[in-house]
Amino acid sequence: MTQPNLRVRVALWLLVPLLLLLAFDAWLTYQRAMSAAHAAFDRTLEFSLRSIRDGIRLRGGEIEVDLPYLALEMFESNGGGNIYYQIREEGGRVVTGYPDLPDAGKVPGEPYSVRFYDDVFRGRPLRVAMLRLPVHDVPSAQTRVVLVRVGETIEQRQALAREILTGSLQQEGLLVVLALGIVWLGVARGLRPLNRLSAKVAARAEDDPTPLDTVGLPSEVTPLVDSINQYIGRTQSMQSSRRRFFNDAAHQLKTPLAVIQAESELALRDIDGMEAGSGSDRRQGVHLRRLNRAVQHAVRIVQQLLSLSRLDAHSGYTVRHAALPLHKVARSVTLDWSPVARARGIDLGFEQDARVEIMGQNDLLAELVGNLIDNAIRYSGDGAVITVRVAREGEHALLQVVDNGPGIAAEEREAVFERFYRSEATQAVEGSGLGLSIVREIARVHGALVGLTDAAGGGLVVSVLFPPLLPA
Amino acid sequence: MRVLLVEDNPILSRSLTDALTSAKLTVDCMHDGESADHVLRTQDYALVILDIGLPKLDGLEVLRRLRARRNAVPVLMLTAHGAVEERVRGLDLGADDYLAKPFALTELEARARALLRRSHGQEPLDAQCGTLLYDSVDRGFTLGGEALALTPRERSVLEVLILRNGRAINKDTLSEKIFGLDESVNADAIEIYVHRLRKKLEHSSVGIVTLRGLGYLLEAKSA
Repeated sequence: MTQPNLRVRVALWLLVPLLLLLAFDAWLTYQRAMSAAHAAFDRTLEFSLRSIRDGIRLRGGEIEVDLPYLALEMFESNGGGNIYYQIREEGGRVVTGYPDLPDAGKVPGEPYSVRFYDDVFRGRPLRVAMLRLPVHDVPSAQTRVVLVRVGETIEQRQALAREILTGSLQQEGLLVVLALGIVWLGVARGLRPLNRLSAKVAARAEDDPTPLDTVGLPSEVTPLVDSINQYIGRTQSMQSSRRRFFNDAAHQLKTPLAVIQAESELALRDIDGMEAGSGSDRRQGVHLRRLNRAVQHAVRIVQQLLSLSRLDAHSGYTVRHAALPLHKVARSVTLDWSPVARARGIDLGFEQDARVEIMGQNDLLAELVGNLIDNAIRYSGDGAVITVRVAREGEHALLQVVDNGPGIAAEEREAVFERFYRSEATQAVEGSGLGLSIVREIARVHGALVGLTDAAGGGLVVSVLFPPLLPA
Repeated sequence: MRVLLVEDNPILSRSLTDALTSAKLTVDCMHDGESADHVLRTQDYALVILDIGLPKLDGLEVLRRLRARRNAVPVLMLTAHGAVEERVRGLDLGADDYLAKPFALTELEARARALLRRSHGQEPLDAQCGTLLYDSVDRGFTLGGEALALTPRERSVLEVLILRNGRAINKDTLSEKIFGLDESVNADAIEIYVHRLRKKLEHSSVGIVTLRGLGYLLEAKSA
């Protein structure tokens, strides 16, 4: 499963804390906005408290209240909040107003001083201003203490605070969005070297031994590239030691194989030299011929494996290209194979439409043609007709080996180039499954393309299309 | 003819000696480069078959010293490494031919024969194909023991074919060999001689086969 990409991760890492911060900030803002609203509205509340105070008198031992309704009305109409008031003698009866307005025990200690507090009245939050007012009656020289309370529901204050909060949230939200956008772009920009690096890695040939370039990469990425390079280096050295081992092993096999081949041939000659040998001689002859065939097969496989390892892109082997006549190389190889073909009653022929020069290496081209003819002879069966053709195809040189054998099924035409691939249909034929791999490798080092098509009237056409010979 | 075989693998050395001896050659064997170099300073050989990977002194060095002494004896190099570079170096140092291990004995014998023939170019060589025999001394052919009557051109054509030793020859090349480069002879003229030769070889065990696009091949028909 793939992890969310880096951009999303960075954005999330930024967004979540930012939102938490924003929430905290909103809370703080709301608190400040509320206290600012209180500061503003409390003054009005205090004003109405004081205007109420002016109408309170003590006359004949009785508290008289002359309410300045105007002040209260003005106050009430101002914002839609409800005003509740209560005037009460300290420790005594309620003179006027809402008797159930709570005092929450927040009675100011000092006379004439005003105290503000929050409370809840009839299920609604209330801001209350309370005044402790001593009232004098000069004629009776009496003094009574009255508690005056004016409470106001706080919708207006809340509305103001919310308004402040909304404005500030809009601003901050915009900032967050902008910040995320900048981060998004910044991450994309910062990741650009990584993208370039990954494109470079993706475009690498699978056998490219060169280390990755660290120039122009951010220092954070350099350790990663260094580790990749170390890994490439390890893989390379492992591969090259494996190749060396393989090469050495194959070479070590050659001399013993030469001995077995020579000895089996000598033994065969001895047997054949005997006129009308006994039954056991004949049987020995049969065994020796089988042995000889097997050795030749082993020899061929070892040679083919060495060819492949030599042609391997890492063998350090360089092709020596020289202008040479393809038609001559092809004809000479065809000639070399003609005894093998004749022994099997195969009509092996050569056709040449033109003299065709190509850039190439003689022995490799000969090996290519040889492998194609070998395959055609092996798989077409006795009595087949095989034609090696050299022609010019526009600017290109074309080499074809055409047979009238069973051909290769379309779905197998890619697989037959794989090393050691043997088709189900040809399991009975003695072969190594390396011939076409070698053909393709040799074609590759010559910049040529190998294609398989059906021959007219059945059979296989192997075409090798060489690049145009560039004018010197 | 004396042949020096320098090969460090004792079994292979013995196998090759057997094969060369049965081809009526006298074989001296050396198993390392130093003794080969030593013996080449004092003895004359018709052919040297020299392995490249040798103990003490490698084959290429033996070859270099040999050529430095202006000894022109034909040298056939053997190697377990098929690398072109090595082959090129060997040929640069003056090797006459090159054979990569493992090889068929017949291949070695054919190369050895070719080198001997080249170095003893003047020496006549007899050849045989089925019941057709060629005597290089009087350039005469016998078929089944009886002399074969041929015109000079026919004789030349048959000579070229039988000396190819079972290898086909391209029509143009054959034409060049018979008429030379200068003569403005139609290459098709060859076909006439081949046709006549076929008539003369009719009912024998030998025939001239046309290989499509490749040329002519003199071959013994299998019974």
